[in-house]
Amino acid sequence: MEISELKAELEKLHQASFGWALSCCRHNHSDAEEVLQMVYLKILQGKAVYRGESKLQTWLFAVIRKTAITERRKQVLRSLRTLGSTDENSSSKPEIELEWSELQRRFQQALAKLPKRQRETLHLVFYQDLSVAEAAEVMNISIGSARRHYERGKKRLRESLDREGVDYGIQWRRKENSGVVL
Amino acid sequence: MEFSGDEKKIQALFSELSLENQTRTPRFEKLWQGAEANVPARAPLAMRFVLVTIVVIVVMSFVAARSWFSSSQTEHTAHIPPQIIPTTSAPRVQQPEQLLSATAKNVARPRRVMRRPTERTAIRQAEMLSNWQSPTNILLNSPAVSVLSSLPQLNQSARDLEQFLPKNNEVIKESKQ
Repeated sequence: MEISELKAELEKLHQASFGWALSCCRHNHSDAEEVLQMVYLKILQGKAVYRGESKLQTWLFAVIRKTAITERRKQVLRSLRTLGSTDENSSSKPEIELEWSELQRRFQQALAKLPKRQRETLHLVFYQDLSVAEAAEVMNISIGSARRHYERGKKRLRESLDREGVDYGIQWRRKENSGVVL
Repeated sequence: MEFSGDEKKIQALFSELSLENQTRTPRFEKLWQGAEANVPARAPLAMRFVLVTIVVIVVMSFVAARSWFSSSQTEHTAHIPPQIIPTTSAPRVQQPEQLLSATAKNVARPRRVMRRPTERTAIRQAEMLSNWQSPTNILLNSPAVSVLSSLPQLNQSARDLEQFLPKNNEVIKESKQ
């Protein structure tokens, strides 16, 4: 695929890619931006090559996930090296969290409590509207494992939201009937 | 993927999250251009070709030099004459023809073989090894060795054989005892 063609396709997937990058970076906006830019750089440099063996979206998401993991590792190593000195990025996280609505904040908290794999599977299925098989491909795991993560994640998220007292049913109904005038 | 029951509710929460994320998403062009700016400028094709050629030439010359060096070393080792180290000091039994030829050679070439100190020590050690006897070797000798070595032959006369038979007096003494 030519780079101009690929660029057009990537532009179409940009919104979804950023959402996935955010999920991979624990909703840290600046980290997600950096990761996505790095992914584009990898594509431009030819370090990440799309060979058409799978859907472009699953390939791109797999690259984003891998890059995010690598960046996370680097961050951890950096923080270990500069242990004791002041953390410059520590102020960015609460700032972003303050912008969430109360419901979303609780939902985010419930999501954050889930194990990484379960969180990723739920995001890919519910947010990105991928099938479990496609989610498995992105995460480089078997379909059986992805299905297990999906079921367990769903159960735990439901329990966690119930415990938090999030009446997400009402929210959902409100969303469904948003156009209806009572 | 079709959802039902609680799944729809979870999806509603995720779609709300998606809407919120959309407002924060940076522009594609901004990230793409930022990535393009970070791409290191590639060397021109001709320059790269020259670099590759130089590397190939250097590697090939190194390999050639190495193979030449190793072959010259093997030739040098092949010219070393084989050396025979005698292992025993005992004189060898030689055939008369061999003796003759040996003396003839010695006459023809009265060259003295100069041995290196390491060879000399090797010869000395070999001699010592060949002359070595076990400290318990004496236990293998017995007084009956002479009797065993002087056994009569089958074609000896009966009188000669008599000397090996016990005498009458000795037989009587033994019976009395």
